[in-house]
Amino acid sequence: MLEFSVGGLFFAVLLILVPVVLRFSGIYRREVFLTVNIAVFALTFKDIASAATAAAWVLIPYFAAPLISNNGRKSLIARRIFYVLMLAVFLYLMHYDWIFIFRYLPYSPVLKFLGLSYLLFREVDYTMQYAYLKESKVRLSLADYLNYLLSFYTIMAGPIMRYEDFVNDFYREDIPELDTDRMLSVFQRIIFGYIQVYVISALMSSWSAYWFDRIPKAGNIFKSAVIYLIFSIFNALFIYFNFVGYCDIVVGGARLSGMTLKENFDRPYLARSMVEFWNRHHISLSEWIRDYIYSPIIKALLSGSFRKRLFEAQCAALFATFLIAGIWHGTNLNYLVYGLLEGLGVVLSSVYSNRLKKKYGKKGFKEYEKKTGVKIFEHVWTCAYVCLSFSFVGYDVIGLMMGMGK
Amino acid sequence: MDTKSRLEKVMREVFDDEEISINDETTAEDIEEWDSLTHVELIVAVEEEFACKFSTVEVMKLKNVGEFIKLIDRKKTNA
Repeated sequence: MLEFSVGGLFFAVLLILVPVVLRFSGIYRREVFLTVNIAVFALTFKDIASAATAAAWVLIPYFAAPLISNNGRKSLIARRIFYVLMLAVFLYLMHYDWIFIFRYLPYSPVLKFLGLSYLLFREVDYTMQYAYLKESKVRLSLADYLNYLLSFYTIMAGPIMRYEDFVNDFYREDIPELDTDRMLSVFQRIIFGYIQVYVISALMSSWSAYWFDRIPKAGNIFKSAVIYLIFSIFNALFIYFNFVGYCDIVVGGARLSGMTLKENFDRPYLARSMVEFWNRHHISLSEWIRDYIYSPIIKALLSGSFRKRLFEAQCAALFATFLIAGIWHGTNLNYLVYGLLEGLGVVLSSVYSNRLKKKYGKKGFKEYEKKTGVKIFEHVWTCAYVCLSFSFVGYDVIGLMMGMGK
Repeated sequence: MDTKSRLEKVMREVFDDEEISINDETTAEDIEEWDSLTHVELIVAVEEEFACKFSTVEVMKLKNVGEFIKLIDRKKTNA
Protein backbone atom coordinates (compact mmCIF):
# COMPACT_ATOMS: atom_id res chain seq x y z
CA MET A 1 0.00 0.00 0.00
CA LEU A 2 1.28 3.43 -1.00
CA GLU A 3 1.42 6.43 1.34
CA PHE A 4 0.86 9.21 -1.18
CA SER A 5 2.17 12.66 -0.24
CA VAL A 6 4.09 15.49 -1.88
CA GLY A 7 7.11 14.49 0.22
CA GLY A 8 7.25 10.93 -1.11
CA LEU A 9 9.66 9.77 -3.78
CA PHE A 10 6.72 8.46 -5.81
CA PHE A 11 5.17 11.92 -6.07
CA ALA A 12 8.54 13.44 -7.01
CA VAL A 13 8.93 10.91 -9.83
CA LEU A 14 5.42 11.67 -11.11
CA LEU A 15 6.09 15.40 -10.85
CA ILE A 16 8.94 15.08 -13.36
CA LEU A 17 7.74 12.18 -15.48
CA VAL A 18 4.05 12.97 -16.06
CA PRO A 19 4.62 16.35 -17.81
CA VAL A 20 7.08 14.71 -20.20
CA VAL A 21 4.77 11.79 -20.96
CA LEU A 22 1.72 14.05 -21.35
CA ARG A 23 3.52 16.31 -23.83
CA PHE A 24 4.23 13.30 -26.05
CA SER A 25 0.90 11.56 -25.61
CA GLY A 26 -0.92 13.60 -28.27
CA ILE A 27 -4.54 12.57 -28.71
CA TYR A 28 -4.19 10.11 -25.83
CA ARG A 29 -3.42 12.82 -23.30
CA ARG A 30 -6.68 12.21 -21.43
CA GLU A 31 -6.19 8.44 -21.33
CA VAL A 32 -2.59 8.70 -20.17
CA PHE A 33 -3.50 11.12 -17.38
CA LEU A 34 -6.41 8.87 -16.41
CA THR A 35 -4.13 5.82 -16.19
CA VAL A 36 -1.74 7.68 -13.89
CA ASN A 37 -4.55 8.96 -11.67
CA ILE A 38 -6.29 5.62 -11.33
CA ALA A 39 -2.97 3.86 -10.69
CA VAL A 40 -2.07 6.31 -7.91
CA PHE A 41 -5.52 6.06 -6.34
CA ALA A 42 -5.58 2.24 -6.56
CA LEU A 43 -2.10 1.88 -5.09
CA THR A 44 -3.25 3.65 -1.93
CA PHE A 45 -6.04 1.16 -1.18
CA LYS A 46 -5.46 -0.70 2.03
CA ASP A 47 -7.47 -3.80 1.17
CA ILE A 48 -10.34 -5.03 -0.96
CA ALA A 49 -12.99 -3.43 1.31
CA SER A 50 -11.36 -0.02 1.01
CA ALA A 51 -11.09 -0.48 -2.76
CA ALA A 52 -14.78 -1.34 -3.06
CA THR A 53 -15.83 1.58 -0.84
CA ALA A 54 -13.65 4.01 -2.76
CA ALA A 55 -14.92 2.77 -6.12
CA ALA A 56 -18.54 3.16 -4.98
CA TRP A 57 -17.86 6.61 -3.53
CA VAL A 58 -16.30 7.77 -6.78
CA LEU A 59 -18.61 6.13 -9.32
CA ILE A 60 -22.09 6.47 -7.78
CA PRO A 61 -22.27 10.28 -8.11
CA TYR A 62 -21.35 10.04 -11.80
CA PHE A 63 -24.18 7.66 -12.59
CA ALA A 64 -26.62 9.33 -10.19
CA ALA A 65 -26.14 12.84 -11.60
CA PRO A 66 -28.44 12.44 -14.65
CA LEU A 67 -31.14 10.88 -12.47
CA ILE A 68 -31.27 13.69 -9.94
CA SER A 69 -30.87 16.69 -12.24
CA ASN A 70 -34.30 17.02 -13.85
CA ASN A 71 -36.90 19.61 -12.96
CA GLY A 72 -39.65 17.22 -11.93
CA ARG A 73 -40.84 16.45 -8.45
CA LYS A 74 -39.45 12.91 -8.50
CA SER A 75 -36.02 14.21 -9.37
CA LEU A 76 -36.21 16.75 -6.55
CA ILE A 77 -37.00 14.02 -4.02
CA ALA A 78 -34.26 11.80 -5.46
CA ARG A 79 -31.86 14.75 -5.23
CA ARG A 80 -32.63 15.32 -1.55
CA ILE A 81 -32.26 11.62 -0.72
CA PHE A 82 -28.99 11.50 -2.65
CA TYR A 83 -27.37 14.37 -0.75
CA VAL A 84 -28.62 13.18 2.65
CA LEU A 85 -27.22 9.70 1.97
CA MET A 86 -23.98 11.16 0.67
CA LEU A 87 -23.55 13.22 3.81
CA ALA A 88 -24.39 10.28 6.09
CA VAL A 89 -21.89 8.00 4.33
CA PHE A 90 -19.27 10.74 4.44
CA LEU A 91 -19.72 11.25 8.19
CA TYR A 92 -19.61 7.49 8.71
CA LEU A 93 -16.46 6.97 6.63
CA MET A 94 -14.71 9.87 8.36
CA HIS A 95 -15.87 8.38 11.65
CA TYR A 96 -16.63 11.51 13.64
CA ASP A 97 -15.89 10.49 17.21
CA TRP A 98 -18.45 12.84 18.81
CA ILE A 99 -21.37 11.52 16.74
CA PHE A 100 -22.45 8.92 19.27
CA ILE A 101 -24.42 6.70 16.94
CA PHE A 102 -21.21 5.73 15.11
CA ARG A 103 -19.90 4.08 18.26
CA TYR A 104 -22.53 1.38 17.90
CA LEU A 105 -21.86 0.72 14.22
CA PRO A 106 -19.13 -1.60 12.98
CA TYR A 107 -16.24 0.39 11.52
CA SER A 108 -12.69 -0.16 10.41
CA PRO A 109 -10.19 2.64 9.72
CA VAL A 110 -9.08 0.85 6.54
CA LEU A 111 -12.37 2.00 4.99
CA LYS A 112 -11.00 5.55 4.69
CA PHE A 113 -9.28 6.24 1.41
CA LEU A 114 -7.05 8.92 -0.07
CA GLY A 115 -8.65 12.32 -0.49
CA LEU A 116 -12.08 11.45 0.88
CA SER A 117 -12.77 14.95 2.28
CA TYR A 118 -11.86 16.71 -0.93
CA LEU A 119 -13.56 14.18 -3.19
CA LEU A 120 -16.81 15.17 -1.48
CA PHE A 121 -16.45 18.78 -2.65
CA ARG A 122 -15.73 17.82 -6.24
CA GLU A 123 -18.58 15.32 -6.34
CA VAL A 124 -21.04 17.89 -5.01
CA ASP A 125 -19.84 20.37 -7.60
CA TYR A 126 -20.26 17.86 -10.45
CA THR A 127 -23.71 16.65 -9.41
CA MET A 128 -25.02 20.14 -8.61
CA GLN A 129 -23.75 21.53 -11.90
CA TYR A 130 -24.75 18.53 -14.02
CA ALA A 131 -27.85 20.09 -15.65
CA TYR A 132 -25.96 23.31 -16.41
CA LEU A 133 -22.92 21.43 -17.74
CA LYS A 134 -25.08 19.32 -20.03
CA GLU A 135 -26.90 22.38 -21.34
CA SER A 136 -23.60 24.18 -21.94
CA LYS A 137 -22.30 21.11 -23.79
CA VAL A 138 -19.32 20.65 -21.48
CA ARG A 139 -17.69 17.21 -21.91
CA LEU A 140 -19.21 14.78 -19.44
CA SER A 141 -17.44 11.50 -20.18
CA LEU A 142 -16.51 9.12 -17.37
CA ALA A 143 -12.83 9.59 -18.23
CA ASP A 144 -13.08 13.38 -17.79
CA TYR A 145 -15.04 12.96 -14.58
CA LEU A 146 -12.44 10.58 -13.15
CA ASN A 147 -9.58 12.86 -14.15
CA TYR A 148 -11.38 15.75 -12.46
CA LEU A 149 -12.00 13.77 -9.29
CA LEU A 150 -8.76 11.83 -9.03
CA SER A 151 -6.15 14.16 -10.54
CA PHE A 152 -3.06 13.16 -8.55
CA TYR A 153 -2.10 16.82 -8.24
CA THR A 154 -5.17 17.78 -6.27
CA ILE A 155 -6.38 14.55 -4.70
CA MET A 156 -4.59 15.07 -1.38
CA ALA A 157 -5.82 18.52 -0.37
CA GLY A 158 -7.06 20.53 -3.32
CA PRO A 159 -7.12 23.28 -4.54
CA ILE A 160 -10.82 22.53 -5.05
CA MET A 161 -11.33 22.99 -8.79
CA ARG A 162 -14.76 23.31 -10.39
CA TYR A 163 -15.63 20.68 -12.99
CA GLU A 164 -16.21 23.19 -15.77
CA ASP A 165 -12.95 25.02 -15.11
CA PHE A 166 -11.01 21.77 -14.90
CA VAL A 167 -12.34 20.41 -18.21
CA ASN A 168 -12.03 23.72 -20.07
CA ASP A 169 -8.46 24.03 -18.87
CA PHE A 170 -7.59 20.42 -19.69
CA TYR A 171 -8.70 20.79 -23.31
CA ARG A 172 -7.58 24.32 -23.96
CA GLU A 173 -5.78 24.63 -27.25
CA ASP A 174 -3.40 27.38 -26.28
CA ILE A 175 -1.48 25.50 -23.58
CA PRO A 176 1.41 27.88 -22.94
CA GLU A 177 4.76 26.57 -24.11
CA LEU A 178 7.25 26.22 -21.30
CA ASP A 179 10.27 28.21 -22.43
CA THR A 180 13.37 28.33 -20.28
CA ASP A 181 12.25 31.38 -18.31
CA ARG A 182 8.82 29.96 -17.51
CA MET A 183 10.31 26.58 -16.69
CA LEU A 184 12.78 28.17 -14.29
CA SER A 185 10.09 30.16 -12.53
CA VAL A 186 7.89 27.05 -12.17
CA PHE A 187 10.76 25.01 -10.76
CA GLN A 188 11.60 27.87 -8.45
CA ARG A 189 8.03 27.81 -7.17
CA ILE A 190 8.12 24.03 -6.67
CA ILE A 191 11.44 24.13 -4.84
CA PHE A 192 10.28 27.02 -2.69
CA GLY A 193 7.14 24.97 -1.99
CA TYR A 194 9.24 22.07 -0.75
CA ILE A 195 11.32 24.41 1.40
CA GLN A 196 8.16 25.87 2.93
CA VAL A 197 6.75 22.43 3.74
CA TYR A 198 9.85 20.56 4.80
CA VAL A 199 12.02 23.30 6.31
CA ILE A 200 9.95 26.28 7.44
CA SER A 201 6.72 24.55 8.43
CA ALA A 202 8.62 21.59 9.93
CA LEU A 203 10.49 24.05 12.12
CA MET A 204 7.27 25.85 13.09
CA SER A 205 5.67 22.51 13.87
CA SER A 206 8.46 21.46 16.24
CA TRP A 207 8.33 24.84 17.97
CA SER A 208 4.58 24.77 18.39
CA ALA A 209 4.83 21.22 19.82
CA TYR A 210 7.58 22.38 22.16
CA TRP A 211 5.50 25.27 23.54
CA PHE A 212 2.31 23.20 23.64
CA ASP A 213 4.01 20.75 26.02
CA ARG A 214 5.06 23.61 28.29
CA ILE A 215 1.58 25.11 28.74
CA PRO A 216 0.53 22.90 31.68
CA LYS A 217 3.97 23.19 33.27
CA ALA A 218 4.01 27.01 33.32
CA GLY A 219 3.08 27.32 36.98
CA ASN A 220 0.46 30.06 36.90
CA ILE A 221 -2.41 31.01 34.65
CA PHE A 222 -0.80 34.18 33.30
CA LYS A 223 2.36 32.37 32.20
CA SER A 224 0.23 29.60 30.70
CA ALA A 225 -1.73 32.17 28.71
CA VAL A 226 1.44 33.78 27.33
CA ILE A 227 2.89 30.39 26.39
CA TYR A 228 -0.44 29.45 24.82
CA LEU A 229 -0.25 32.54 22.64
CA ILE A 230 3.31 31.68 21.56
CA PHE A 231 2.24 28.11 20.79
CA SER A 232 -0.74 29.31 18.78
CA ILE A 233 1.37 31.69 16.68
CA PHE A 234 3.82 28.92 15.73
CA ASN A 235 0.93 26.56 15.03
CA ALA A 236 -0.74 29.10 12.74
CA LEU A 237 2.58 29.64 10.94
CA PHE A 238 2.96 25.89 10.61
CA ILE A 239 -0.50 25.58 9.04
CA TYR A 240 0.17 28.48 6.70
CA PHE A 241 3.57 27.38 5.40
CA ASN A 242 2.55 23.75 5.20
CA PHE A 243 -0.50 24.50 3.09
CA VAL A 244 0.96 27.31 0.98
CA GLY A 245 4.02 25.15 0.30
CA TYR A 246 1.84 22.21 -0.69
CA CYS A 247 -0.13 24.43 -3.05
CA ASP A 248 3.06 25.84 -4.61
CA ILE A 249 4.25 22.29 -5.29
CA VAL A 250 1.02 21.03 -6.87
CA VAL A 251 0.17 24.23 -8.75
CA GLY A 252 3.72 24.31 -10.11
CA GLY A 253 3.68 20.59 -10.90
CA ALA A 254 0.39 20.86 -12.77
CA ARG A 255 1.72 23.86 -14.69
CA LEU A 256 4.53 21.64 -16.03
CA SER A 257 1.80 19.36 -17.39
CA GLY A 258 0.07 22.33 -19.04
CA MET A 259 -2.70 22.54 -16.44
CA THR A 260 -3.66 25.64 -14.49
CA LEU A 261 -4.93 25.06 -10.98
CA LYS A 262 -6.77 27.60 -8.89
CA GLU A 263 -4.65 29.79 -6.63
CA ASN A 264 -5.55 29.12 -3.02
CA PHE A 265 -3.86 31.94 -1.09
CA ASP A 266 -3.57 35.68 -1.37
CA ARG A 267 -1.41 36.85 1.55
CA PRO A 268 -4.08 36.07 4.18
CA TYR A 269 -2.22 37.57 7.12
CA LEU A 270 -2.56 41.03 5.59
CA ALA A 271 -6.32 40.81 6.18
CA ARG A 272 -8.02 43.36 8.41
CA SER A 273 -11.08 41.30 9.29
CA MET A 274 -12.05 37.65 9.56
CA VAL A 275 -14.29 37.98 6.50
CA GLU A 276 -11.35 39.31 4.51
CA PHE A 277 -9.07 36.63 5.95
CA TRP A 278 -11.29 33.88 4.57
CA ASN A 279 -11.34 35.62 1.20
CA ARG A 280 -7.56 35.31 1.14
CA HIS A 281 -6.93 31.99 2.91
CA HIS A 282 -7.84 28.60 1.37
CA ILE A 283 -9.77 30.55 -1.27
CA SER A 284 -11.06 27.51 -3.17
CA LEU A 285 -12.67 26.24 0.06
CA SER A 286 -14.15 29.66 0.92
CA GLU A 287 -15.70 29.92 -2.52
CA TRP A 288 -17.03 26.38 -2.38
CA ILE A 289 -18.71 26.89 0.99
CA ARG A 290 -20.07 30.25 -0.21
CA ASP A 291 -21.71 28.60 -3.21
CA TYR A 292 -22.89 25.34 -1.71
CA ILE A 293 -23.51 26.13 1.99
CA TYR A 294 -23.87 29.89 2.55
CA SER A 295 -26.00 30.64 -0.51
CA PRO A 296 -28.66 27.96 0.07
CA ILE A 297 -28.84 28.81 3.79
CA ILE A 298 -29.24 32.56 3.33
CA LYS A 299 -31.70 32.05 0.50
CA ALA A 300 -33.80 29.83 2.73
CA LEU A 301 -33.57 32.34 5.60
CA LEU A 302 -34.46 35.36 3.50
CA SER A 303 -37.40 33.67 1.88
CA GLY A 304 -38.52 32.31 5.26
CA SER A 305 -38.37 33.53 8.82
CA PHE A 306 -35.68 36.21 8.23
CA ARG A 307 -37.59 38.09 5.52
CA LYS A 308 -36.48 41.75 5.39
CA ARG A 309 -33.92 41.12 8.14
CA LEU A 310 -30.94 41.06 5.82
CA PHE A 311 -28.18 41.61 8.29
CA GLU A 312 -29.42 39.05 10.84
CA ALA A 313 -29.86 36.50 8.06
CA GLN A 314 -26.34 37.18 6.82
CA CYS A 315 -24.89 36.67 10.30
CA ALA A 316 -26.86 33.47 10.92
CA ALA A 317 -25.87 32.05 7.53
CA LEU A 318 -22.21 33.00 7.99
CA PHE A 319 -22.13 31.39 11.41
CA ALA A 320 -23.72 28.14 10.20
CA THR A 321 -21.44 28.03 7.14
CA PHE A 322 -18.22 28.38 9.09
CA LEU A 323 -19.38 25.98 11.77
CA ILE A 324 -19.99 23.34 9.10
CA ALA A 325 -16.67 24.12 7.41
CA GLY A 326 -14.91 23.78 10.78
CA ILE A 327 -16.49 20.39 11.41
CA TRP A 328 -15.39 19.28 7.94
CA HIS A 329 -11.76 19.97 8.89
CA GLY A 330 -11.50 17.12 11.40
CA THR A 331 -13.32 14.41 13.25
CA ASN A 332 -12.84 15.26 16.93
CA LEU A 333 -14.46 17.86 19.19
CA ASN A 334 -11.60 20.33 18.79
CA TYR A 335 -12.75 20.96 15.22
CA LEU A 336 -16.25 21.65 16.42
CA VAL A 337 -14.82 24.36 18.70
CA TYR A 338 -12.71 25.58 15.80
CA GLY A 339 -15.84 25.84 13.65
CA LEU A 340 -17.70 27.73 16.40
CA LEU A 341 -14.79 30.16 16.72
CA GLU A 342 -14.52 30.76 12.97
CA GLY A 343 -18.29 31.30 12.83
CA LEU A 344 -18.14 33.71 15.75
CA GLY A 345 -15.14 35.48 14.20
CA VAL A 346 -16.79 36.24 10.86
CA VAL A 347 -20.02 37.30 12.59
CA LEU A 348 -18.14 39.65 14.95
CA SER A 349 -16.27 41.11 12.00
CA SER A 350 -19.55 41.69 10.13
CA VAL A 351 -21.20 43.28 13.16
CA TYR A 352 -18.16 45.50 13.70
CA SER A 353 -18.14 46.91 10.15
CA ASN A 354 -21.93 47.14 10.07
CA ARG A 355 -22.03 49.23 13.26
CA LEU A 356 -19.26 51.52 12.05
CA LYS A 357 -21.01 52.02 8.71
CA LYS A 358 -24.21 52.98 10.54
CA LYS A 359 -22.35 55.30 12.88
CA TYR A 360 -20.17 57.12 10.34
CA GLY A 361 -22.09 56.57 7.11
CA LYS A 362 -20.44 54.99 4.10
CA LYS A 363 -18.04 57.82 3.33
CA GLY A 364 -17.20 58.40 6.99
CA PHE A 365 -16.48 54.69 7.37
CA LYS A 366 -13.94 54.82 4.54
CA GLU A 367 -12.19 57.76 6.19
CA TYR A 368 -12.25 55.95 9.53
CA GLU A 369 -10.65 52.86 7.96
CA LYS A 370 -7.74 55.01 6.72
CA LYS A 371 -6.59 55.94 10.23
CA THR A 372 -3.27 54.35 11.23
CA GLY A 373 -4.47 53.40 14.70
CA VAL A 374 -7.52 51.67 13.26
CA LYS A 375 -5.39 49.83 10.70
CA ILE A 376 -3.01 48.54 13.38
CA PHE A 377 -5.87 47.50 15.66
CA GLU A 378 -7.65 45.60 12.89
CA HIS A 379 -4.50 43.82 11.67
CA VAL A 380 -3.45 42.78 15.17
CA TRP A 381 -6.92 41.71 16.21
CA THR A 382 -7.42 39.64 13.04
CA CYS A 383 -4.02 37.93 13.32
CA ALA A 384 -4.56 37.19 17.01
CA TYR A 385 -8.04 35.84 16.42
CA VAL A 386 -6.82 33.61 13.57
CA CYS A 387 -3.94 32.24 15.66
CA LEU A 388 -6.12 31.53 18.68
CA SER A 389 -8.90 29.89 16.68
CA PHE A 390 -6.40 27.88 14.60
CA SER A 391 -4.86 26.53 17.81
CA PHE A 392 -7.67 23.97 17.86
CA VAL A 393 -6.44 22.56 14.55
CA GLY A 394 -4.01 19.69 14.99
CA TYR A 395 -3.80 19.84 18.79
CA ASP A 396 -6.06 18.44 21.49
CA VAL A 397 -6.65 21.75 23.23
CA ILE A 398 -9.84 20.50 24.87
CA GLY A 399 -7.91 17.59 26.39
CA LEU A 400 -5.21 20.01 27.57
CA MET A 401 -7.73 22.33 29.23
CA MET A 402 -9.58 19.46 30.89
CA GLY A 403 -6.26 18.13 32.18
CA MET A 404 -5.30 21.53 33.59
CA GLY A 405 -8.72 22.02 35.16
CA LYS A 406 -8.32 18.94 37.33
CA MET B 1 -40.64 49.65 -16.78
CA ASP B 2 -38.22 47.34 -18.58
CA THR B 3 -36.17 44.64 -16.88
CA LYS B 4 -33.06 46.79 -16.72
CA SER B 5 -34.74 49.69 -14.89
CA ARG B 6 -36.47 47.33 -12.49
CA LEU B 7 -33.20 45.54 -11.79
CA GLU B 8 -31.51 48.90 -11.23
CA LYS B 9 -34.18 49.85 -8.73
CA VAL B 10 -33.71 46.58 -6.83
CA MET B 11 -29.93 47.02 -6.82
CA ARG B 12 -30.25 50.55 -5.44
CA GLU B 13 -32.37 49.22 -2.62
CA VAL B 14 -30.20 46.20 -1.82
CA PHE B 15 -26.88 48.04 -1.99
CA ASP B 16 -28.38 51.10 -0.35
CA ASP B 17 -26.95 53.46 -2.95
CA GLU B 18 -29.17 55.78 -5.04
CA GLU B 19 -26.33 56.58 -7.43
CA ILE B 20 -26.04 53.10 -8.90
CA SER B 21 -26.64 53.00 -12.62
CA ILE B 22 -26.17 49.86 -14.64
CA ASN B 23 -25.62 48.72 -18.22
CA ASP B 24 -25.08 45.30 -19.80
CA GLU B 25 -21.35 45.37 -19.12
CA THR B 26 -21.64 46.28 -15.43
CA THR B 27 -20.06 43.64 -13.17
CA ALA B 28 -19.70 43.20 -9.42
CA GLU B 29 -16.30 44.91 -9.72
CA ASP B 30 -18.02 48.17 -10.64
CA ILE B 31 -20.32 48.32 -7.63
CA GLU B 32 -18.55 48.55 -4.35
CA GLU B 33 -21.18 46.91 -2.19
CA TRP B 34 -21.62 44.01 -4.58
CA ASP B 35 -19.53 41.20 -3.12
CA SER B 36 -19.95 37.48 -2.78
CA LEU B 37 -22.05 37.90 0.36
CA THR B 38 -24.42 40.60 -0.88
CA HIS B 39 -24.79 38.79 -4.22
CA VAL B 40 -27.14 36.28 -2.60
CA GLU B 41 -29.21 39.08 -1.09
CA LEU B 42 -29.50 40.68 -4.51
CA ILE B 43 -30.67 37.37 -5.97
CA VAL B 44 -33.39 36.99 -3.33
CA ALA B 45 -34.60 40.55 -3.89
CA VAL B 46 -34.66 40.01 -7.66
CA GLU B 47 -36.60 36.77 -7.20
CA GLU B 48 -39.20 38.70 -5.24
CA GLU B 49 -39.39 41.58 -7.69
CA PHE B 50 -39.83 39.37 -10.74
CA ALA B 51 -41.67 36.53 -9.00
CA CYS B 52 -39.33 33.81 -10.24
CA LYS B 53 -36.74 31.40 -8.83
CA PHE B 54 -33.11 30.88 -9.76
CA SER B 55 -31.02 27.82 -9.00
CA THR B 56 -27.71 28.09 -7.14
CA VAL B 57 -25.85 27.18 -10.31
CA GLU B 58 -27.62 29.71 -12.54
CA VAL B 59 -26.67 32.65 -10.35
CA MET B 60 -23.12 31.40 -9.88
CA LYS B 61 -22.46 31.60 -13.59
CA LEU B 62 -23.52 35.22 -14.12
CA LYS B 63 -20.67 37.28 -15.51
CA ASN B 64 -22.31 40.67 -15.88
CA VAL B 65 -25.59 42.55 -15.65
CA GLY B 66 -26.40 41.78 -19.30
CA GLU B 67 -26.40 38.04 -18.58
CA PHE B 68 -28.46 38.65 -15.46
CA ILE B 69 -31.11 40.53 -17.44
CA LYS B 70 -31.22 37.73 -20.04
CA LEU B 71 -31.68 35.17 -17.26
CA ILE B 72 -34.48 37.21 -15.67
CA ASP B 73 -36.27 37.63 -18.99
CA ARG B 74 -36.02 33.90 -19.68
CA LYS B 75 -37.41 33.03 -16.26
CA LYS B 76 -40.18 35.61 -16.52
CA THR B 77 -41.42 34.21 -19.81
CA ASN B 78 -41.21 30.68 -18.44
CA ALA B 79 -43.30 31.62 -15.44
